[in-house]
Amino acid sequence: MKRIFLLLYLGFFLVGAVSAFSGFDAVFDTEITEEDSKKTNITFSGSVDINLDYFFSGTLETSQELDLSLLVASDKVETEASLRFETQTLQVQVDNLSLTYFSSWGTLSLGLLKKEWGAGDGVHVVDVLNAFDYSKGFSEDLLAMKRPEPMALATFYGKTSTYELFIKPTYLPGTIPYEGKWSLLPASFAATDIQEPKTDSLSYVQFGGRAKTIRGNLDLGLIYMNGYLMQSGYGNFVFDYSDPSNPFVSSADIVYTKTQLLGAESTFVLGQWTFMGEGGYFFSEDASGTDPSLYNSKWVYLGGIGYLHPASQLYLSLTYHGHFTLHYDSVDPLKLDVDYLQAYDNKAYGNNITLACELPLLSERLTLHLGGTYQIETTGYVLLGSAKYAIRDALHFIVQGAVYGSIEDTSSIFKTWDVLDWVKIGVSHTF
Amino acid sequence: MKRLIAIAFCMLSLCFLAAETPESIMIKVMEVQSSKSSALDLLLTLKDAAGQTRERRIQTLSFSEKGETSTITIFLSPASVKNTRFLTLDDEQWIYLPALKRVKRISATEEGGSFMGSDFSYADMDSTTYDADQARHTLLSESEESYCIESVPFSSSVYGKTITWVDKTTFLPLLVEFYEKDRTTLIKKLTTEELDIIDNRWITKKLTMTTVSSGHSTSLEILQAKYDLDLDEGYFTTRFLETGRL
Repeated sequence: MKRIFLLLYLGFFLVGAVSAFSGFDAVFDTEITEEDSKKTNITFSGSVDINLDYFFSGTLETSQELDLSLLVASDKVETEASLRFETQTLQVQVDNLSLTYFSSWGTLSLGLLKKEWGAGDGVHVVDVLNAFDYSKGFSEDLLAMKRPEPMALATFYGKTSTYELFIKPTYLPGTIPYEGKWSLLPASFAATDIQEPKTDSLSYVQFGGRAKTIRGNLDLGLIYMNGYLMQSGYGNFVFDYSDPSNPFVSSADIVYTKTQLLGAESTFVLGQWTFMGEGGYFFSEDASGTDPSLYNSKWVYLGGIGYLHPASQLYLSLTYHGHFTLHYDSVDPLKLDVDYLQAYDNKAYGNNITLACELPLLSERLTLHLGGTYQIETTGYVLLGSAKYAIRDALHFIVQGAVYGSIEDTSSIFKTWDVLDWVKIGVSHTF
Repeated sequence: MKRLIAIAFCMLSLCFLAAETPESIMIKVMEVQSSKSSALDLLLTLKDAAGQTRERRIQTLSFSEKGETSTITIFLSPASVKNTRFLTLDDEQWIYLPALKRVKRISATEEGGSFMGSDFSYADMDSTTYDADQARHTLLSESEESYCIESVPFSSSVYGKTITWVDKTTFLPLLVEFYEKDRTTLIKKLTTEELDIIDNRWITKKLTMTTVSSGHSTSLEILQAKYDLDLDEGYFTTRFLETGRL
């Protein structure tokens, strides 16, 4: 499948464009913008990052990262390839490999794509098009955590409406680290041989769409998805009773839950205030909640409020988001039921508060970000902060950090990563 | 005698008709800068007190009809914001973030905030002078070349008052001083550095805004300008915002 995409991509790349979009070329005189057009016909850009990471557990690490992007654009076709190379893993990751065709009716994008759905600020409950990669913990950059997935995305535009339809021929699940410092594997599964099913076949096809419309101060969107939940389920457990007093799971299969999402998103702006809402119902193939390897149906919800201070351009947002799992048995849960394994403090519901703020200073030379999520049931939290100073437009000095933990001694992802508080200093050069 | 009186009366009337009031001057200032539609290619050069400079280039299309203005702006440089686009339809605003490939509705009330880190606020980018119905205008002085007019806005504004020196020939502002709400503390000065004639109209081709307290300044140069042109309505849609194409 990957080879087909690559061939398709290269094919379209070769037939790609002759002149590129550079601002409003059609409006301005060509003698001034023609040169710019030629330059942007093929745009090569990227960044080099050199970082020093310090984990408060006492580890010091250095990392270098090279991001390269190639964009070839014309009136009708745009092709883009973004690659990332990290010296730590010595691996090249494809961040985006796409081709977009522009027509009178809209656009058609093919390739390895990332797409964000939802109205919230950096946090969503109906953003289902890409799974997340948790192999490096949480990041401020939601898109950076997403895994690009093979898909075709058609977008149709009305005067005040947008309609998107997608089809994903295969399924790319989220990356849950099973080893290393970011491992999320429970201790009881430490010696478990986990079998992952192959999901790069057409039997995992997924599809759906979104319709968005503008009504005065309100943007409203409706979402439908027929596919799989991002989270992995587990089944077919085999226990090892060689030590009867201490049996353990010797092997397990990963199982993915087929689901349909009916969702909605909305943004309402009133002066400096922005109100955001998302909600949806995940209708699981295990709607009755009888199969412990599959997730039950659930409701998800999000309400947020953002405030922009006009003079300082300080932006603050506060978001409340969560889920409610149906048919959850909190009295006598099967200890290996995936809904129990993923539950917060053995509750059917989980609620979070996320706060984010951004403040540009010194004529936008310095930008401060601060974000944090508090998980109410487990009292777990993560705080993320960064300061980015532009030495020059293309050269930034960056200080970043994250603090994980929980107020009470309750199990959660934040508690698991409690010892992984880190701070990073680095420079980033864009070109 | 009656004829003499009649002639004198007519002369006097003509004098009154010809005399400019502060309001009529500021109306003309707004009129010479307004158009049904415009296309501007702008270069902003930010200069800090140490003399270090940074450049930002934007292109903007604007269209007014029935009292409502639609604007689409694209950032061309620096690389970190390249292809970021803003769509404003009257009081509503959306931003397209190319890194996220996402359109997001945003609050449009950031009048006093700095535009791209420059010394221009969003309100300044819209207009640096007030219309007759927006402020009380007083003629402070007059020379052979210019009028000096004080404008105190009626409603709450970013500034407490402005003082504008208006060129008598072109009715373009030559110098504008912006004051705090206390109306005595000078915040910023806008100096016209170059005028030009484009499409048979005078325009301010280059101007510099200086923040008095920091010494930071921003030069805004019009690289290209077109007025009263037929702009495709498709530019002012979320489709163009998202795709960059008509």
